[in-house]
Amino acid sequence: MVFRLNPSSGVPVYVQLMEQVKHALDTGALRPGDQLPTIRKLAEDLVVNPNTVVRAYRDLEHEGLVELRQGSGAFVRGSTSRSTRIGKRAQGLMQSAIERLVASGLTEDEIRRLFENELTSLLASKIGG
Amino acid sequence: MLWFRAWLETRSRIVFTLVWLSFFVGVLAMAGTGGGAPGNTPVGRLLAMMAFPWIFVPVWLAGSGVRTQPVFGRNATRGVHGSTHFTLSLPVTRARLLMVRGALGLLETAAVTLVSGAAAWMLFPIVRAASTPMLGMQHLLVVFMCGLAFYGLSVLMSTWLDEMWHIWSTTILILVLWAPPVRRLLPPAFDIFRPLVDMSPLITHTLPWTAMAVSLVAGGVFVVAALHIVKTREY
Amino acid sequence: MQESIIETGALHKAFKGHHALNGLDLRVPAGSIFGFLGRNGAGKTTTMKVLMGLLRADSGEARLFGSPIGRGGPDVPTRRRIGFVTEDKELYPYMTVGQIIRFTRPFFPGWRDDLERRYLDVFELPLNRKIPNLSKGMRSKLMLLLAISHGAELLILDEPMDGLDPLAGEDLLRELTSLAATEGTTIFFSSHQIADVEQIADQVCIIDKGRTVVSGALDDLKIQCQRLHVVFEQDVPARVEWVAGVASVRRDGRTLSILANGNIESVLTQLRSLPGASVERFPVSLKEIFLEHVRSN
Repeated sequence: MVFRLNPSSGVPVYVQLMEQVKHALDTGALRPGDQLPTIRKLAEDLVVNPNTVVRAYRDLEHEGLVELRQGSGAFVRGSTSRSTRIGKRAQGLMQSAIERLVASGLTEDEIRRLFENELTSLLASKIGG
Repeated sequence: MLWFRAWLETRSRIVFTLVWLSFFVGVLAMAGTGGGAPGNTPVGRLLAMMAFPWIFVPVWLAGSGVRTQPVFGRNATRGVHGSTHFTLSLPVTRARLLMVRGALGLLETAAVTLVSGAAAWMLFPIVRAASTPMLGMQHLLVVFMCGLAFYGLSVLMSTWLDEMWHIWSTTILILVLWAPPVRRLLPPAFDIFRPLVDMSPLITHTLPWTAMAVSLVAGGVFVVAALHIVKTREY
Repeated sequence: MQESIIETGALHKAFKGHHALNGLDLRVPAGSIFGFLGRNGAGKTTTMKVLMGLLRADSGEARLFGSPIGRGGPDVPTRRRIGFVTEDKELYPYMTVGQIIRFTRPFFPGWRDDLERRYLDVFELPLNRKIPNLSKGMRSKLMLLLAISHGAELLILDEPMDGLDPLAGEDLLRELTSLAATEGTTIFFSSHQIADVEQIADQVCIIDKGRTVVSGALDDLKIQCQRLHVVFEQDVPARVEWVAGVASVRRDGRTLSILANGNIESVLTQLRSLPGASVERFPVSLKEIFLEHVRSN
């Protein structure tokens, strides 16, 4: 599992970690039953505060995506079909949105910029509460 | 390990003091002790010549134990306080830093005194002729005891003056006190310079107890003041 | 509520009329990695020196491990529990690396040989080299080795990254996080490099002119602080009574750039109510938070 974090972005590191775990679940990189790296290992590999990893894992457990087993670590929950269904559905949504934007005359760059703006705004509003 | 550190800091100074004394001993050995003011005995003249360089041995060997002292040829500190911050962050009281350094410096002074005394004994027949080994040892004891005041003063100066300034300032103070106009102002019992010269056991065949006691007390007072400064100073 | 391992209240320290510390309040929770940020001369080193007893505060109180620091600084048992890396990274010029380790070890009954071996290896410190012949970066690492190896519960590090190249700096950050994870050591460190603090700290404090300007959990700060860009169709409204939470407002033509440090929802509501305004939100990095708060001070 490869994580890419940007500590200098305004998005808290634990949120970035959570988003990336969720993305991994969507694409199938992480499957139900898979074990996430230990808190200590992940903190050392990514060079981030261990408490950050703790918080990310705890919030993921809170959202029902992950199960923290005492002594063994964090394991992915849920069923295979659900995550691939979500992945496929999301892909379909994305495809039709892009097709529609291209049809209204936007260039690739414009679409990309629009997408990033909206996504950043959305993330910011999510963590702002 | 504080002793080890103090040793590393002072070992080159010991060499320096021995070289310094050897120089004077060498000069005397070659020039002889004849001549000089009438009424002066050869031994008295010898003692007078040796007292001068010896005074500075305790001054050179004193230190506070808190600030790192410069070793010859190299400045010990970069920045204003250098490794002092490291020393003071260690779990050891400032008093202990001072006392260990002070004790080692004293031992070194005693050692240098003994070595130079032994050398003088062997090199100067007039000394051997005029006295006994016992008197010689008594003289060395007197010299050491009278040096305690100078040592204590140098320790005190090293707690509030940095680098080598305590050496220069103590030297100047001693020279001022030694000058006849100033010395005449002191009560005779307080004159700790004379036991090194004409009141030495080699000449009087007695021990100048008062002078030794005065020196001991003065040295003690200086060290107590030094302890106080070290405890309250900011670095 | 986590207990504080370091705590100061209204700390004052003046040097010849210059107020280095001007009522500093600090709370470092046990087990945290605490980043202490500030400009040159803001009071970071002075604070650490007061905590270690190298300086005496003029007024106010300071506590370590819950107990007040006395007139003579923290006592000997307390200093056994603290590892300190000084600002100038100066050690004894007449010792080698090996000698200074041998010198320091007996002062600490809890010395950890395993940590000593590990850091000698990781930092690649040559045992026989004399200290003045070490580069500044190596001296930093050596001081760090001494501080960590005695099994300290609290590390007070003054600019530990000073003199380290980016690779060595990254290694050091990794070691610090590893230490926090395995030993539970509280790490209180100051730095100019905001990015380093942002990477590993979970608590931060920004000080300026001897006073705390911003302080708290880094994640909370990032959540509470947001940049809002408001673009107006016509002109920017002349006079607005900003609600609480608006920290700064900058105008550029028909755009207002606002930094909000709290109360985000109310600020958004106010902004959206302004005529002809469209609002975009952006997250704020620690660097922005730092610059914004220090500039306006």
